[in-house]
Amino acid sequence: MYPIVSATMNKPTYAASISQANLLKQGAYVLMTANVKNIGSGDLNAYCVIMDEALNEYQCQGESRFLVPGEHAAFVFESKTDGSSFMVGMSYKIRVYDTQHGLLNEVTIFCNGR
Amino acid sequence: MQRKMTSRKGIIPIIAVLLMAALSVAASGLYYAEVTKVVANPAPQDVVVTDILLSKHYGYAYFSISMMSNTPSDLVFQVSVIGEDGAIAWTIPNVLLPAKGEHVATASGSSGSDFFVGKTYIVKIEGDINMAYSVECTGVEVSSGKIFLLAINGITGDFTEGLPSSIVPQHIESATNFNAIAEETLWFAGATKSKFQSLFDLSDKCGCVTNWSYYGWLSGQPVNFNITYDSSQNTLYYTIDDKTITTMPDAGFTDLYIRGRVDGRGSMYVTVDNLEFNGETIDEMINTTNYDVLWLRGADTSGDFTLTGCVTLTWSGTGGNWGMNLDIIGGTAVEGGEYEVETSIAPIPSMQGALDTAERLGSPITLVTTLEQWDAILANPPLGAIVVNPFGGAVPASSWAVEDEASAESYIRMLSEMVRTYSWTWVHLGGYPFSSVTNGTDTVDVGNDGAEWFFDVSRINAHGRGIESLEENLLTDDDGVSLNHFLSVTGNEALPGNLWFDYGIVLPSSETPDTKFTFYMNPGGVSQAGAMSFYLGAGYYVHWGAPIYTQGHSDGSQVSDYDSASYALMVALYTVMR
Repeated sequence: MYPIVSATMNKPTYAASISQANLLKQGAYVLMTANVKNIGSGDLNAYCVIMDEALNEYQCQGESRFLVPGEHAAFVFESKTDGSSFMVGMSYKIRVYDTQHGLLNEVTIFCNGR
Repeated sequence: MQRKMTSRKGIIPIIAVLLMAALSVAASGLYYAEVTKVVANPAPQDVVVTDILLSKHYGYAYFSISMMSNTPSDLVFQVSVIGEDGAIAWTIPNVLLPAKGEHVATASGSSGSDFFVGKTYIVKIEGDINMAYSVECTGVEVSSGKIFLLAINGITGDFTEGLPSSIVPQHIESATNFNAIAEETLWFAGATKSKFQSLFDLSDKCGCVTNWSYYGWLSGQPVNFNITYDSSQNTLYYTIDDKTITTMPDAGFTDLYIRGRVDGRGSMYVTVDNLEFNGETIDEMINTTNYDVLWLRGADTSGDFTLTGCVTLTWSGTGGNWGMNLDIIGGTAVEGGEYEVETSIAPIPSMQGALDTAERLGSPITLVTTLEQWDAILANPPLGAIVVNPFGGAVPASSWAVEDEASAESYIRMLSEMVRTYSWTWVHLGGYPFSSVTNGTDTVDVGNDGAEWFFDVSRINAHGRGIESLEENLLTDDDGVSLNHFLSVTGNEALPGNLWFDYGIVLPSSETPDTKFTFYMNPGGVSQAGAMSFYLGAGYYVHWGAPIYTQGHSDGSQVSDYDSASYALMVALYTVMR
């Protein structure tokens, strides 16, 4: 209800939450999953990245996702070869961007696996 | 007058009440619409994975996942298990989790060789919600050491393509890698479903459409396809469902690729499965939400051929520009040159024997197909590796090791050090061990010196030829791990009682390497063994002397290189297990 009222009465806000994010590694294979929700009042073209220790960004598969307020999307980054860029037990940042409004949110998760 | 004024005043509250009621109804509608949208858009916490099980029994494996939903609508997921080599070992598509309900999805089959007991494996769950879990594999296995089969292309030919009756499918998961491997793309058989198009078509090497037909793709509905090439007419027939189009493709294609691509936002899958090439089942599939190419390595396209399969395009909730595309591509691949090297045994059937045995026993095996891959393993040696060399006396090596005899000696001593330090098991399948070092182009012959460098002794050789008997004591151990027991529980037949070996190892009278097991020994008391395993530091060397007959020379039935390699791997795994 709030996003609709907010959108009607105010200038749109652009925000996203990240929930149930996981980073798992298995040798050279690495998998990151994240679920992003539009918690603002304006539409988003959201995309998701994970950053390694050298701050290289690895973009999740697919292009940006169009999300209306309240809508969520599931993102995945998967690679058979980039496992060496992530160390089990270390923490890494996941960022959600909007193609027009830039960085929306950032969370830190631990890398698990072997 | 007084009454009139009162009457007008009385209308105002009524209008106000009506307005408020209208606003209330409108707000309720908006609220309902919002609630409906949120309900149809489940949050991650609305789905719970309650249990995951992964278990193996040698070559057989079983997987199950239990999920529970707290949403009022049905959800569909795709569950994948990542195997030891980082590739998808199992995919369970279309897992339907009913509204407010539970579901248990299972998979089982001959996938034991994708997992090690005691190690954890990633479970990827994709759908309206993405999740990732890890599960520890339980059960029984022969060895916790990974097998590396040295199938280096460029030494006596391209083995991956030459393995008998086998197509070795290989996934290529980026456009960059595909462009690096596919030297030329000469024709495309496409299937497209997008916001604007629903069709299948044939294109030439420039990507220009030569023939096409409308096809009304339905989301999630599997459709059979058939690609048949008539070489005498140089005509390609492409059938989707019951519609067929044809073209005359550009000549020169040697390789087949199947490529699935997804563009745009929304939930979209391209799935290709039930693949058969000339009647041979291809035990791989494509299931991508992004980009995946399946290279059918070894598929013989030199004459007539037929490729069949099933394609499913699935989409939901797409907005803006979106599309899915399947391409079956005829082209060429960048390959190494082919050279001939004397190997004493036939590498291709030897490789196939080792591959099939490893799969049957449930031991993860990696084909090392390039010297770059082999160098990477040597640079970062895994603990407990089992290395199978199917080239007989020739040992594959990079260029630096084939410059001269000194470089060959350094290389062989380095291999010995790997075995000693990293608990490797080196499996020799025949010929004079380490008698030459080769990269396919250049070869350095070192004769008996190679084995002496490897064992670090002054005298050893492998020229013993004759009948050898299986050692009875190995068969009759009563502690539950006798050779017979091992072969029985792993579903193998007993080893032949006698074998005529071509390359029995002759032990020196002094500096004898420490023996772990003697499998076949000369019954005449000569210090000669056809099959034997030795301690070497923390690892083992397993000598298998390439038997030719099951009895005396030309007396019994012939032993194929396939069976010989199978026996060799079994005794190597028995050595490691005990």
